[in-house]
Amino acid sequence: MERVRAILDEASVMISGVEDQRTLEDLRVKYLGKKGLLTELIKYLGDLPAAERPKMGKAINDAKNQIQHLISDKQSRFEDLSKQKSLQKDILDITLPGRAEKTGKIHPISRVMNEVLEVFSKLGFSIAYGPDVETDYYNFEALNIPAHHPSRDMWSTLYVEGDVLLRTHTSPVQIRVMEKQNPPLAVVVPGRVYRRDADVTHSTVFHQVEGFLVDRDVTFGDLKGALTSFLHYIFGRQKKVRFRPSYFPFTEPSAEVDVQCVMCGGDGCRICKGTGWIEILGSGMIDPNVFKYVKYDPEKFSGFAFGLGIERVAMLKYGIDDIRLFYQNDLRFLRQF
Amino acid sequence: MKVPFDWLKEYVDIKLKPRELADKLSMGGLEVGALEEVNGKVLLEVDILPNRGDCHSIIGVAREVSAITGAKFKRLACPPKSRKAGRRRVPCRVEDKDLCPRYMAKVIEGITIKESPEWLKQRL
Ligand SMILES: [Zn+2]
Repeated sequence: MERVRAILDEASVMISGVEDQRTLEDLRVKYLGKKGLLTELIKYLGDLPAAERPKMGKAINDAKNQIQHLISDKQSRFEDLSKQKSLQKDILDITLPGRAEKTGKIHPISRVMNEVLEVFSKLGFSIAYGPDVETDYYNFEALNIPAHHPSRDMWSTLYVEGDVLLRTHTSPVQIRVMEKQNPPLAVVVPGRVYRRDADVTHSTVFHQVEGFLVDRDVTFGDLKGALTSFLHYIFGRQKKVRFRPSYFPFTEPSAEVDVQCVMCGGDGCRICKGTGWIEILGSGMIDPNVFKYVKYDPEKFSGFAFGLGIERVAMLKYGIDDIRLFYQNDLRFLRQF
Repeated sequence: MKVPFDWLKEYVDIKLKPRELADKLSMGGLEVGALEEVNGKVLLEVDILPNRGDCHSIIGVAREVSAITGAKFKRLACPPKSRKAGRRRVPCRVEDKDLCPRYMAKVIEGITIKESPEWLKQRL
């Protein structure tokens, strides 16, 4: 009995002095474990006289329960403490309202590109794509621009190697599509194009949308109607538009399309260089020679084609006078759209 | 190509204002890309496309103005000082008659190299 009390007293002192979880666990093993001091005592119960056994058994059990109780208390105190600590470490106010998610914005070039494609899809055009790295054949020859043709000067071309080049316009896709499909077709081609130019209105890499329509009995009137309604969608119905005779090797006749200057309203200013007009796209009736390259019968079919620079449209639409702003990714600029 | 408005007038009578002429030329196929004033003189910036090699000169543009406006084209007299055939010959041979049906060359003699006079500098 003495022994039990002694163990109990010792355990109480030890447990109350414990400061960490690990030592507490060690004490638990020391007193209550399979080979713990109290468990050992139980083994000697059999050596006692039968009358004393129940008394002794009860005393050991009581001691066991008390020690267990002390340990549990200490244990829960430890848990409270570590909970408090972690609460202090990361204070979480679950009543705060949620933070708005930051989403990006559509770049003005993509925005205008999407708008242009949407207008043409409403007019019944489908979309096609072609490679940025082209061959001389698709970029020039099949578009009725043979080697040494003087009109090659119209495009300052970036060559990769031999006959391989970076496309100077999206027109090669006309050839790629017509090689695979027969008329009637109405297609628009968005994409990047490359030229060896760089100043406030020219960039080495810029974006174009090419469009073409081939069928029986397509006339210049169809071209004029389609492009006029397109320009009215983009710039508004009140803007004046003019079709001015021009020259492209792959169309005959050819016309460039001007829009009344959005800055000065046609009086003449720095942006329109005193002319009152701003050139917005090139167009024309597809040259019968181009049809020969894709094995269409020029007697049966006719068509029109056009190409427009997306940057040019975006500059006019938003009143931007330096093309380089589009590529600098300055957030102060981009946030305005 | 920069075309001085006044220079054009030496070859053709122009009753239109520069801006009106620019519009007419543009709509006639010679795009006037810019209209500017330099030292009080009006300059037309004419963009000549590869199919119009005939317009790569003031005379060429003046002919076009004449055709568009109906005003008569005035050929300026520039008689040679001498009609005698010179003794110098330029040797040349056409290798492919199909690619080059006609080849012309002329020898100009009696040239002195000196500073251009002021009027010529202005025009250049
Ligand atoms: Zn303007």
